Amino acid sequence: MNVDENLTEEAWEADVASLLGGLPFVDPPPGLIDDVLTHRPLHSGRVVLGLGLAAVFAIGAWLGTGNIGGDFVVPPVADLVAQHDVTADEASDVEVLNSNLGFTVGSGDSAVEIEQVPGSSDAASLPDGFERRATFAGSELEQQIYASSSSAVSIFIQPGAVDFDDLPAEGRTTIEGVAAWSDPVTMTVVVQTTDSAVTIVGLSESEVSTVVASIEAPGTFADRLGRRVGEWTAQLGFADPS
Amino acid sequence: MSTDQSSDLVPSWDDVAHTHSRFIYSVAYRLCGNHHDAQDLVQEVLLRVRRGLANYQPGNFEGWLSRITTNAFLDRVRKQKRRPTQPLPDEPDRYIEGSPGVSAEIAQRDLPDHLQELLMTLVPEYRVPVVLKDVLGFSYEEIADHLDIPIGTVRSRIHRGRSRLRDKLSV
Repeated sequence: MNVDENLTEEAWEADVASLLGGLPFVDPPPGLIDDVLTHRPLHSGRVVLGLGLAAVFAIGAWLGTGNIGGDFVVPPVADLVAQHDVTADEASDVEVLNSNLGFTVGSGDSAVEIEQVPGSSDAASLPDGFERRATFAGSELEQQIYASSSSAVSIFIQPGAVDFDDLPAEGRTTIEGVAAWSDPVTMTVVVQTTDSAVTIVGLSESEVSTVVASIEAPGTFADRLGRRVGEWTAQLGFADPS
Repeated sequence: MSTDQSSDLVPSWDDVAHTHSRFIYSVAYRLCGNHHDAQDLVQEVLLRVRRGLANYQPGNFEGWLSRITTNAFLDRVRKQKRRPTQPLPDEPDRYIEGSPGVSAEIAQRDLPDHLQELLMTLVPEYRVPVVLKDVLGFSYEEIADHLDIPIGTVRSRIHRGRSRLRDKLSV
């Protein structure tokens, strides 16, 4: 039975719905669709790539200061979210990847290689048909971007243990009894695997929990998260942090 | 507005852009409330459509398009929460006061603009399901699937959204 059949609406609700149902279609401005078909939209073009590279530089420089690399790390959440924002749309546009990637930015500790990932997919690793689109790999930080037809997720991996005490207190939480940090506004979750700090941008705390819970393997949440992260990273040839 | 509920064919990106642009733009405009943001959203939606067509499973095509559009809209809302910007209504002076001097004919003619302005007074959490249900005609189940939230939540948000609209309509 259709659930709708069980729902009753008051008369005033039907009146409001009827009014809204009478709203007409709206024609797009002349030329808009042709512009989209023939030109790169303004908001996802080279400007965005430039911002993305700037964010990569910023993170690279931050890494170069020696803030991480020891036993404890504090993920630069705001920078990682900004990095996700400016790279997710761009990296999920295959044509942009083809035309812009395959080069190295910076040098030394701040080197961040940008490589195009072949078309292989591990959609089963994330919900809603996500496929891996790209990776930004540095010496101390890896970003993997997964995208579906309607959304994108970035997974940042840093070696070390998360220093949760240095993250904003209001975001501290636990997932299956394991310390974590989350921000529902930016949809950011910081979790700890055996030897890596993992920052996930684009999934809520409950979604992260659901994804990890789907792994049929023994062990704690951190063990299973590590296994999942290992699945993600192993395909790219990185060390399996689990 | 009504939607084409089914299609067994997977159109090309060009076909989608040309054939369904009016539908996509209408959804975008009803969610954004102004043409500037609607145009940006349509551009983003068409790019997502291009990426997603390869994996599209034939079915309710306009349902798929509306899902992409609402997700893209909600992504933008989340980003705007992180970087607040001042919205720019197209014609803010066209709000119709309920004074007796306004003729019924004029009120009727401008009703869509008035309703659109009222929709924009709803927070996105209420506006999106109300638009999907009452403007586009999707079922509660479809909306719950679109937004990945429980059907009870969909129902309560639509009820509250309609209630707020009723209050404003009766002022």
